[in-house]
Amino acid sequence: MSSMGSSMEFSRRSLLAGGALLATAGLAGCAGDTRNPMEGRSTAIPDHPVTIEWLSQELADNEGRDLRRSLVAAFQRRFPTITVDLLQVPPTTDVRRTTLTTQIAGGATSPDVYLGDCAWPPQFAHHALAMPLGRPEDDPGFWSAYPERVVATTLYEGQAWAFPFYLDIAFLYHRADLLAKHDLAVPRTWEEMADTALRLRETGDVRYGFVWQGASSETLTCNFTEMLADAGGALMDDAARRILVDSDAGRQTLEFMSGLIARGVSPAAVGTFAEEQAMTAFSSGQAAFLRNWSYAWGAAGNPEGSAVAGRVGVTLRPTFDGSGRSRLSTLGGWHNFVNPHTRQLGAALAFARWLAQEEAQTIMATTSPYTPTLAAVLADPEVTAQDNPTFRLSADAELVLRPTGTPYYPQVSKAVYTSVNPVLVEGGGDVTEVLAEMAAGMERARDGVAL
Amino acid sequence: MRTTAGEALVPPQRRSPEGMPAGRGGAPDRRDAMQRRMARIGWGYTSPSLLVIGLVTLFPIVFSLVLSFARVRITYDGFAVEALTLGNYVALLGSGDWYYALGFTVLYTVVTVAIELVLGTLAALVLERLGAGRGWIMALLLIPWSMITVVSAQLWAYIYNSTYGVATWVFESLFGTAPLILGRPVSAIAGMMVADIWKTTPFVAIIVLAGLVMLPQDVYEAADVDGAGPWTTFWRVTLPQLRSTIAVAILFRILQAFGVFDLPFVLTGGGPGIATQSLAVMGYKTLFQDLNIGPGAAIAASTGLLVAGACLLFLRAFKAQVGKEDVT
Repeated sequence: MSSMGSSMEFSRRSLLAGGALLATAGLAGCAGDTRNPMEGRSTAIPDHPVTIEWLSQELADNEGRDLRRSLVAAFQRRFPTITVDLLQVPPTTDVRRTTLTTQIAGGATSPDVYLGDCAWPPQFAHHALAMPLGRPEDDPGFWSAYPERVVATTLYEGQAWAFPFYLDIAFLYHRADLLAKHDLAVPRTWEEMADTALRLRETGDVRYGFVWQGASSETLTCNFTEMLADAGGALMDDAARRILVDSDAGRQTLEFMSGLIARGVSPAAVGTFAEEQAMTAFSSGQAAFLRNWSYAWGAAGNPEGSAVAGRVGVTLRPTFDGSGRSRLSTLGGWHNFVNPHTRQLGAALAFARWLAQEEAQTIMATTSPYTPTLAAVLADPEVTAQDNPTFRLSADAELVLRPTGTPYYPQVSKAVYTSVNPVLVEGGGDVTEVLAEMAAGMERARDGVAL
Repeated sequence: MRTTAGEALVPPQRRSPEGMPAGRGGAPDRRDAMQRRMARIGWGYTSPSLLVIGLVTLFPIVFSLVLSFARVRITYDGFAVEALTLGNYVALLGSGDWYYALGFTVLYTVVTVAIELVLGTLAALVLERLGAGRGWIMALLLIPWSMITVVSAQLWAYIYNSTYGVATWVFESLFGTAPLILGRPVSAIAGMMVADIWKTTPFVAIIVLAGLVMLPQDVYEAADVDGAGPWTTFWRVTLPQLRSTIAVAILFRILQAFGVFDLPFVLTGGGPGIATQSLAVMGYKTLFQDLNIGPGAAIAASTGLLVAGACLLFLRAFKAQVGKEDVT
């Protein structure tokens, strides 16, 4: 514990602040995170009945029931003294962040445990909105059970700040019926995909070739990051320090993405599409190909909301012709965070941790469409052999990290999507200039001086 | 009370302060004391609500002003001010995005308020002449205004949707091709303005109508006698007398339009790029997505200051033009 305390006391920023920090300490009362919220508090599982609150979006299982309730029921069988109440959440990820940050920054003790985006941990850690959960190397038995890149998203300054819960992996969905009808193969490269999409458009069977997410928001950063990786590039290095986007790979990616629209492979409307709009275009039968996360398998296959149920195929994303990298997907997903102000620390830790472990992960993987984070469960033949092919494919996916390691990731991402989006909707432009501008914006963001 | 002929034409409630009866000099002391006691009782009765207003309005304003001059960090004990600084404002002034947001917000305000004013006044003139159906039509007109903006914005998002939107369908049936309304800067800004004008023109119409029905009829009779046609009557009689009403409508609209948030938030999220990012949206993103508290507070505070300044300037210009007439 003492090592945690000192690491926070002398965080990078505090050190930089140096004398200014000392001078203003009296004014502020508390400047920076000078203490560990876990210190001096019991993490034991309570022996008397307690109630904790879990904030999570509704998670529908394969029968359309609420997966959260099955998980809570199983947890309570294991820990009879702990009752878990479910809290409702705002609809979108960003509004959810707003609600959580205002509540927790204000010292709210509820929710005790909350489900948050895997891009959040450094930002939430930096702003004292999450409980530090120790260094992975101090608990290898627990943390080594997860893919290294998944663990990486939970880290900030060496500590973990959330327990991995489920993964979102991006796939290429296609209209299997149309490919069969015209005797076309499932594309293995982006170039093949573009040709096939154009062919299918020409036949008049679909209005759009390929739909994806190009709206001016985080979702575009996800799309751009993985396609950049297909081209052999990256936004930043693994430590989220060095900016690498201004490269040949960057140019190739940007040109290809805007070319998709210019050539008519994708409609110009993808520049306004987030997941929902792209999903609608595909499940209404208007598009031949769709890039979307794991959930789209269920959404496209549900006859109630989809006109193409039973006619859809899925593969891991293609890559560029001649690229050394394939099977890539931006790592998306959700982690469980513990509120640093919780009054039931022991119970909250037990629950958040249990959700990441074998029993909960197996329930999730066998009764719902959500992809488990625990490597052993994801590789379990019983899980991969299910009707839902995304499980089998997920085990093979290569996960690409967004540069979420910096607490300024939202600004970094904003520099990316606000630069890429106009290129998509306006078409072409000087991509070299755009990349230089994007890199400059990312640099300001990384240094914490961007607005 | 002695009045000049000119003053008699001005309704009592609009009389300038100079025309009001002298309340101090001539009144007996006893009445003064009485008034003071009444005032004390008045303050006593209103103090609980003043306290509430202070807590929910003044405190947050002052707090956010302080935050805007501070380097702030969220800690396990809540907000911590690390240092007082002008850096947040310096950052704003050095940010191209902020200038763009300011430009967009000003353009949006000027264009929507101007168009709403013209359309609203026209609607009010028609409404005033309506007989039996006026109540019903007013009720109908108020539907857009009474709708929560987030809801109406969502409706406009459906209308503008590039795959199944009705606007897209109309364009396609007429011209064979449809613009990507929310996907390109110019059309996204125009689309947003249309949604705003649709929603708030009725508000302007109702306010102007209220002013119209209160206009004294004798002036119109006089104009008629002098041989003024309808056009001249409108420009020379109706409009000058409506000035204070219109000023109120403009003020309300400037205040609202300058803080535009829900329309861009729902329709475009500020995109494409940052084309429709208003100051309020930028402030929201800076504060709540980036958790960049100091600069976020600076955006909020400067926006407040700018709109207050704009309103004061407008009022001053307006007063100078209308002379002594009380506009509030």
